[in-house]
Amino acid sequence: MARVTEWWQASRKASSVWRLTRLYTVLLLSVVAVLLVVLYQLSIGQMSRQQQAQLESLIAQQTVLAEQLNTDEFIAQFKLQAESSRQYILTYQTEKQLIGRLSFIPEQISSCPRLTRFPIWLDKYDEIRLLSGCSQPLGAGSLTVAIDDEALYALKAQYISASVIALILALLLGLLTGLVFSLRVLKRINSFNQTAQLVEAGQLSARVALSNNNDEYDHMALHINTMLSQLEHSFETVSGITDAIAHDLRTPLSHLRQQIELELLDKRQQDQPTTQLQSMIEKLDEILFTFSAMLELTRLQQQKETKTQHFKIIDLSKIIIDAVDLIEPLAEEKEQIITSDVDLNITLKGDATLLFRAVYNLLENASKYAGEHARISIRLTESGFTISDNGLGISDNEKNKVFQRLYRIEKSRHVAGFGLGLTLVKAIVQLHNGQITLLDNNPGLQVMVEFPDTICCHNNVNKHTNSNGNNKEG
Amino acid sequence: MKFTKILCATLAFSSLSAFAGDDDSLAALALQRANFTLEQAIEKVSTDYSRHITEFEIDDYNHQATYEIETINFETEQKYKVQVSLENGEVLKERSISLKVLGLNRLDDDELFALKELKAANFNLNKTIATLKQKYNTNIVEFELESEKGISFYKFKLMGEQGAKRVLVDIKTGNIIPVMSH
Repeated sequence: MARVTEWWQASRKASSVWRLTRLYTVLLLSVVAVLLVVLYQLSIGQMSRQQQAQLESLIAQQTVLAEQLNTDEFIAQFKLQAESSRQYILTYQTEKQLIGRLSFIPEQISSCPRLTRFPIWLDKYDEIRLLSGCSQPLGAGSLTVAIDDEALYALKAQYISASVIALILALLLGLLTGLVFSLRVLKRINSFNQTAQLVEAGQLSARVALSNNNDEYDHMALHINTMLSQLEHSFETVSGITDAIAHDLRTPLSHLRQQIELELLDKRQQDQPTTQLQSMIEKLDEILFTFSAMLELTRLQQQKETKTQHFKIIDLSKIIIDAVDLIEPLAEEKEQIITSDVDLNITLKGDATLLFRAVYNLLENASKYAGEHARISIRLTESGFTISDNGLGISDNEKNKVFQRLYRIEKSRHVAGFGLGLTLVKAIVQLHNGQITLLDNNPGLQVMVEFPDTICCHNNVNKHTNSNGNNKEG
Repeated sequence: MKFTKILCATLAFSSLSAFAGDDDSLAALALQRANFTLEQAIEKVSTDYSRHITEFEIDDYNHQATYEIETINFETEQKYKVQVSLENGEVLKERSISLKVLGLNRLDDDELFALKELKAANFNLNKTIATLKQKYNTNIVEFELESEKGISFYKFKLMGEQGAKRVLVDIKTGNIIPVMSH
């Protein structure tokens, strides 16, 4: 039931197809309702109007007769007409007498031409009948004209019942066809969405499935697939060029480094100054590290399928504990407090080395940019982990940019780095179908990492605090 | 008193005899001689049992003429049949049955509809009886609550010098329903 409600609410808000279904159902109901009203007016409405017209004609006729004849003559003709008329019940009431078929005029009867429905009793058959009639002054008395319209009312009631059934059936038909239509269309649209999600997650080889219908969705799928193929080709080309440049430059640069190292050894043996050479080696190391990171990033983003095949069940809490142990010396240098809360036992399918690298990179980033005496905490959640610090944080307009390759925030340029750390972390998280989000910690930054297929949880009771190397609790 | 005893004996005997057709006349005669009026009997039953009276006729109990009145009490879900003495208003016999049998209502749809209408309407039975008695100068020998085609009414049987006459009163409006001749 909850799932149905959830589906209903989700589709009510999100699906344009469902909105179309509702519109279609409303239109269908409106058409059926209009048809029913027209049909009513042409059948029962027409009969009702005819009946009313005949009553009015009868009243007009009696009015003319009352004007043309004297009272006795009028009463005489009225008696004859009242007795002979089977369809209409005529009654004429004067002060002295009552002529007609009714024993008396009902009190509640309205003035003509408005009709009132009232019961009469056929004593001979012990039966109640319902008449519609009206009364109006005529000559020296009052004329009452009524008609037994029970059959017409029964017809009206039957028509209303049939109309209600027709509307319910139209509603069901509208909803049913709408639902079938929605499900079929949604199924096709969902295949587009799924493909888009796969591409977004880095699987550029994903394509929209084609059906045998050769309809407009297939045409759209063909266009999207062609576009994706071109995109994939472009990416491969760019990556290939980047890889080629990185690879081609890395070898001569490595040779250059070796030569500088040899030169450095010579200079040392001759007790000559080596500062410049040392600086050159450090710069070359940075360039080589950047190339290596870029090549690794490309591999991570492109070889998702190959890499995920080698995933194993790993313990995320263990990885976090190891990463915290490794970052502790760096934090101690800056007199930072690192707190880890890993009282959950979270496992997931993944690559332990890559995940360790991601956690370590995030902790390293926090330590590097949060400043001295900062507080850094890492906490396991049911779907991943969060790392928080009380440093300067990242402004909202830069939160997405920091994941771009080689991007560096202006205020952090004084800190050593290449602008590839968070890009690499994001690639690793996406490789595990996860999501990384940067949030404000007020003050500071909170990095939230979530994986879709984690298995939770046993309490580990593993709280660990390191206060600049002096205070530890476990 | 003596007359009443003779009358009751006759009434008791008449159900098995050729006097059956004269029941209404005898009932009218009994009503003329009654010390306790129909209005008083209705008032008593309304107060002691329920004001939703569905039926009335003249009957006898142990050679005494009685008003046999049926009433429905919705609170106790009981249908009461009460015999009130014409002589002194004493309740001579009282019988009650539950409206529900195995969870089902004993009353049919028309009866239920009529009772619902009666419950909702501002209908004064005693006032109607008084009006009818005055208008037709007769006694009411029986009445019954009925419903037909969505109209709920009391069907009164009046007994006067010109014989028996039936009059229907709509409980919603309190008006007499006109009779249509053929």
